[in-house]
Amino acid sequence: MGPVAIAAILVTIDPSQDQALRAVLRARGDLELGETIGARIPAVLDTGDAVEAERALREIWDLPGVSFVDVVSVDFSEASELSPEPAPGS
Amino acid sequence: MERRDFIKASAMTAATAAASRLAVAQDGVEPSVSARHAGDVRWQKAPCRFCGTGCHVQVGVKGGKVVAIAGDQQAEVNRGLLCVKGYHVALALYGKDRLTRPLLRKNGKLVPISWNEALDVIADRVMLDPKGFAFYGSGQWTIPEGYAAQKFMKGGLSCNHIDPNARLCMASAVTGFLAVYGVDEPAGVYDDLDRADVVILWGNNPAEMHPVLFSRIIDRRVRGEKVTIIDLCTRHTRSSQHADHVLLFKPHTDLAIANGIMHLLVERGTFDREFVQRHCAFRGDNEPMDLAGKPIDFAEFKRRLAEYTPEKVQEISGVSADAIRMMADLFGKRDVRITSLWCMGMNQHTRGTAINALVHSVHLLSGHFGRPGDAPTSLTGQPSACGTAREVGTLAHALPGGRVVPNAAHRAESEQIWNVPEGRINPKPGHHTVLMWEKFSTPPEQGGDIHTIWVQVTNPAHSLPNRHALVDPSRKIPGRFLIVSDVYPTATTEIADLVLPSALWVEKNGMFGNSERRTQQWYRMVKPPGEARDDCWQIIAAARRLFERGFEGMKDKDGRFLFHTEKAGKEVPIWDFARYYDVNVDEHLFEEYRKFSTYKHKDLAPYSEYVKARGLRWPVVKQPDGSWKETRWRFAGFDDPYVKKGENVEFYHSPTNDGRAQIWFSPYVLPPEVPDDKFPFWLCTGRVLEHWHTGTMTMRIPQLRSAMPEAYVEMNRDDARRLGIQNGERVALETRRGTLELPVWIDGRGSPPPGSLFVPFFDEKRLINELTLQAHCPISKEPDYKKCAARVRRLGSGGA
Ligand code: SF4
Repeated sequence: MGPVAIAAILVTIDPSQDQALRAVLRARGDLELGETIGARIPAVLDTGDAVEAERALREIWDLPGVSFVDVVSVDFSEASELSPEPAPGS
Repeated sequence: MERRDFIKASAMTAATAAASRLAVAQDGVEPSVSARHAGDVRWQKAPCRFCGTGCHVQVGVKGGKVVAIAGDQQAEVNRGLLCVKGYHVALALYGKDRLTRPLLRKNGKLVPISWNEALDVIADRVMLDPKGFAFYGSGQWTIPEGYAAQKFMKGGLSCNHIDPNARLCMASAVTGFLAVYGVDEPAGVYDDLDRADVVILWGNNPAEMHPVLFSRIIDRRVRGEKVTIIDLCTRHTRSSQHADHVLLFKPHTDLAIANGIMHLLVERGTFDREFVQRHCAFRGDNEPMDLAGKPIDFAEFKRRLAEYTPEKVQEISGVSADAIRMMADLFGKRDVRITSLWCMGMNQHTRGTAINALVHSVHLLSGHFGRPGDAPTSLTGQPSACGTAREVGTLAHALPGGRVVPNAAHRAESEQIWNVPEGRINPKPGHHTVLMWEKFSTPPEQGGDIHTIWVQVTNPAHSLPNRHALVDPSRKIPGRFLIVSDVYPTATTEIADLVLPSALWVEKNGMFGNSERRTQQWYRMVKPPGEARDDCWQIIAAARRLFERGFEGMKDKDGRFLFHTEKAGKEVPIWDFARYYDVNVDEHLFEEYRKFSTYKHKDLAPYSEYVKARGLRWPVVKQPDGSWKETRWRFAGFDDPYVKKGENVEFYHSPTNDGRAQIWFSPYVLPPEVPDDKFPFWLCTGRVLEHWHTGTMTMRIPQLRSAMPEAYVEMNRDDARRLGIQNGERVALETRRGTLELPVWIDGRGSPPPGSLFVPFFDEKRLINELTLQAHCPISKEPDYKKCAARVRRLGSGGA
């Protein structure tokens, strides 16, 4: 398994879609949601696979009603190793 | 509680705290220990390694490794937030293929050698002919690194062939500022984004390229404030999704749009007459174009603008006459605050200086200047394009602190600070980037006068335009020698003769200067792998090797080593890497460098002040109580201590020495290459959210690489349908300079209008810059990567 990161994120939403979006986000399984504050949902992203983490962020950002995704912190210390693979062609 | 659960609970606390803080727009406070995970992690501040936004991160280190990253809540720039690149920044350190030993090409193969041998090789190359030795650096050089390289070349070798890759990204912004204000760098700051009623994106996509800044604007909307975003663009991007007005313009026609706005301001009399009369003068282009231009009067300015009617501008640019009127209406209102943002779209432009000057001119003419929220602000792509390339002045014509080599007084001042003999600095500007590489790729008998280039912290074989002409020929010319310091194998190390392994980011001490004049400092936190060493040490060690061989240039006036460094009255042998951290070399270099900073009122505080702060924006001026105060709004009487008492605004480095900024007229002219029957598309190149520049770091981060594994060509759906091309299909993209195979992306992240294509440049397996134009702005010498003519051919077909 590659490096697994647990990330604290903020999902900025259209407040009128809060409930609907929370349902969609909750259904993902890799996100733990906090209470919505203003137009932001604090959340913890914990993906089982390294590649999934980034994909998950993009999917969240692309959801209708999501206007921005910011990252607050990330912890790599649970990673099985900190050495990603070399870039292709290198 | 299991450790993993603890980390997750801490993450939720951090996210909730950040959301609460942002909801009430509070400044950051130090995050509580409970908001971070287990206490065995040591936290320290550093600016993010990537873009010019200059976010601060908190770096968590455990067991000699970086194990956690958090947005720094004390940092005004990012208020605890990071973008997707920033939070992966630590992983850039840990790619498996880090360069760990010096490598020398022997019989065609790179083989490991000792540092001792590597330094001898460098010294041999200099001794061959110091005038033919060039240095190619970067806006990712730390300030002390750039300063050391500058001193090594101009104060040591008496050779001005040093230029940074910032020539490829920021040079037009520099010449734009010089042409208008007589001094480089923005007057405004990021705080303007908190105060502007209108934000205009001039060919800029901050939602992806400066995401944390864009998030700052979105944040205001979230709190119920009204901020109008106008996206002047050549393709729809993620920024367009948030814009109130998306104004698609034909490439290169931004000059006509700026002229069109000014025309209406003048025609309707809605320009700020008082501001203009008190603070401005008018200027037009010389033939051939130069930085000084020639003075014109208001009547002449008005006459030249006359043809840029809204209808004419619509015809040229494709932006409706009504939209031009709407922009002029906004600029004509005094009670609206307008911030313009731009980056590469305006800089990488064959009229880069002109369009920069025109956008400043729109703001000056309308008086939208010098109040919080009213600012023309250029953004940088690299973390220290401002701090290192522009302020240290690692450009072929420049000396530190805004001085230039042709000026005898500037040379004398620099020689005095460096304590080198009079006449040491060569008065002739060196070769700018494109010329440097052209000369390197030209045989000596045909005038090629560069025999060696030392490259640090950049990847020119990937990022230069038209590599076939500028780089590849050098590899076949006997006697040409390429030295490359880097952290990973790149397209440039692959063709180098000597490869030097470098330390990266928090593996060394450093200082950056971001887009808003903010100088930032950090300390080394972890050790570099193997024999990788600081770029700054590499320069000093090479200088010492030359000194030991009796090379005069590496001695100061008193015969001491050019980089002589003392501790408690005794010289420290900083050229010996084992002793390099016996003193803080960065601090010593910075304290010397900051003596240069007052000439253009870019005053820097002592190093120790930056240790305490999350960066300070210059001029940083000492107060009567001994404290140091940064300046937010430059040239504005209420904030800038160098503005004369009683003045609202003063341009105290005016090009005309009368306190006036210059409002320019520059006509719209056709670009050097336009689509035609053979090459019917416009091709634009640029960046993507996940990857930073040539991808050497971000392609080593699996999450980012898998999110965006290869380059693609964005194409409009109608064009694809017309050519029978499916989404994802691989096609041949051709320009007059080359061909590249790429998958097509229809309605992807960005979407170009019909007749336009976009390709990102991060992918080293698909070097799009082999296809781009070498043509550059005649003043800034910055190439135009944003527009050339192209065609698309289905593989196996005749082409279209
Ligand atoms: S916006 Fe730029 S400086 Fe800030 S975290 Fe992202 S890449 Fe780093």
